[in-house]
Amino acid sequence: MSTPDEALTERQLTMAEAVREALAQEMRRDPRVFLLGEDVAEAGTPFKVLSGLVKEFGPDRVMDTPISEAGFTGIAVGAAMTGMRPVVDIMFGDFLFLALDQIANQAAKVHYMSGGKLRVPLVIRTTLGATRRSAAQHSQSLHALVSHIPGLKVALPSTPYDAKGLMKTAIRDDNPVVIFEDKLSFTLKGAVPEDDYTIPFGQADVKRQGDDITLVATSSMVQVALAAAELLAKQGISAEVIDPRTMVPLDAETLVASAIKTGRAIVIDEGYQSYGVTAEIASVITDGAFYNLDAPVKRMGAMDVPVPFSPALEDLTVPTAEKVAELAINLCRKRS
Amino acid sequence: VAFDSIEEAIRTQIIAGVRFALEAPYPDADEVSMHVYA
Repeated sequence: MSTPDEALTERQLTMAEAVREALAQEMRRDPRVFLLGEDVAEAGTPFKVLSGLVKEFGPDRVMDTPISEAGFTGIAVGAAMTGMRPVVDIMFGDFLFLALDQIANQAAKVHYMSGGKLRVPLVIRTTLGATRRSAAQHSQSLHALVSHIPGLKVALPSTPYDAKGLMKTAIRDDNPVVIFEDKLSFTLKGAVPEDDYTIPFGQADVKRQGDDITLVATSSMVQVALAAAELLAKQGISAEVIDPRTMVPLDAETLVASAIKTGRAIVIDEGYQSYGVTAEIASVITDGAFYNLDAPVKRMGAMDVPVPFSPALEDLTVPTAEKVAELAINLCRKRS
Repeated sequence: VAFDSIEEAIRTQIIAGVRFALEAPYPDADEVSMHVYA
């Protein structure tokens, strides 16, 4: 459920504003924090998340880079190893492929390969999410890629409150952290205290309590799951909605406890379904709650096709509240 | 001459490093998951 801080505040921010506030507060707190990436300074990114930061902190701490993800990510890895705390902006998650050697082979492994002598306190901000009519190369949700690599932490905020708290935690972490923000959620509004607060990694949030079925949802799919829960309530089905908030570390305990309570679960995620995070989470739940389950744990990911440009086709590829509710009703009916 | 002295210094470091590695015991099995995360 909402934390006390979130419940008490009336101040509303969009997710973009929440991320910006987190970055600004951390840059004021720690002079080692700086931003770099394509169009992060004057443009403030295409999504305007970073608007105004260059005015306060100057071009030495908000640095526009050439279009070279491998280059500026490598610069950031080196800066992190030598005492800075860089935040790299990868404009679209699809561009992670260009920087994966620096992320997966360098940042993720330096601490291990140096016997714990070197650290890489690096944050990579990037995006995920389809249905923005951006076609196949600007719409993927690739968090499973980096969640697969030991040494990286991976966070997926679903609300403005979580976006601020998780970003501040990421910047203070001594490990490389990849944060995926949903592009369509940048305009999502929610309660965000102005205070300095962090959200611990590996701590899932129960967004809605329920007794009949568990809906585990990530990032943009949290809103889908909450809408599905509303539909299910009208059918007399009480759905619990849980947001893991971080893929790595994963709060298996909360997920399993909910599945034990409800007896059935659906895992909903916007990444490709095959070999995706739905498989990992479903496996964790099945392993921990097997003897309390009344039905197989079901998965709903994105369709295994390149994200189509055609709106009519694109909308077919991602889970919707109606599809989630339909599957949940089927699972609950099979129980009795 | 300057290059020779640099090369000699590096060779000495390498020999010392190799000797240290060869003389060191193998790590304990429980070290396999150490230092994945800081």
